[in-house]
Amino acid sequence: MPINRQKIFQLASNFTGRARTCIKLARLQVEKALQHAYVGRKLKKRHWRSVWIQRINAGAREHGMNYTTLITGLKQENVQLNRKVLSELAMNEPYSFKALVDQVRFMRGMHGRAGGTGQP
Amino acid sequence: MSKYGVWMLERLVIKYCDIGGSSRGMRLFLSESLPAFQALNPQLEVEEVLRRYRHPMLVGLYRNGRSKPICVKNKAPKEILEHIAWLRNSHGRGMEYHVVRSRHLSRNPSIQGQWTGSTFASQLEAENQRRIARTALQTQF
Repeated sequence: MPINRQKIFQLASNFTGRARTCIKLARLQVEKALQHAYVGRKLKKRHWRSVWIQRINAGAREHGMNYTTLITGLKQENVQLNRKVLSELAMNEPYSFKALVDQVRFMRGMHGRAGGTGQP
Repeated sequence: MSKYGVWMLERLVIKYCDIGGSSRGMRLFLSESLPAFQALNPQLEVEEVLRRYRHPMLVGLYRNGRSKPICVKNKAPKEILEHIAWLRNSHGRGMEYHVVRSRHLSRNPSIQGQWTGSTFASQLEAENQRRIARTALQTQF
């Protein structure tokens, strides 16, 4: 059942020019807009994961460790916190995040290094 | 809506026309459903205004001075009652459109204090000192 005109004009209510008022143009632009929305919903998940990873990387590097060592260390310690929660901790609970970094450092035997960067 | 026992909606102004077609539902509403609504809500002042040759409207006047007008032309009495219930159940806050940065709303987003550039300033200072001490010993450039 094709989408009807009323619905197309509702979806096109904020478009510019004739795409808002003429059905032939509105239909084309609305179809493309819906395709963009479909693809965007999938890209949004990738985008946010990359943002969380950047934030965790920044938080870990402040304490002399990088993202990969932190994540592998947490996996080995069976800490099930996901990247979203880790990034929220890095932003809002910096001391808890530091405690996690210190725990990984202790587990890997890196506490002896002064200002170590997590690389052998 | 009432906050701490005080009703936010103080007055309801009902504007209608006695001969227009768009006010037909409104006229039915006034005769059938309005008395029951007024009995259930004695705190509300309901005022009926006759405006000939105009569409029917509801205006809710709130405690904070804001008003919410709703045009109810060509609506059935049941729909008009839904609109009135919406006015009664809401407060006078304006429509707030803002970009939702996060789906989590909280009065206390941070317990330990949000990260700033100076949260670990002493640690950064110590690292800078170490770096300076290391580079001071450099002999080859």
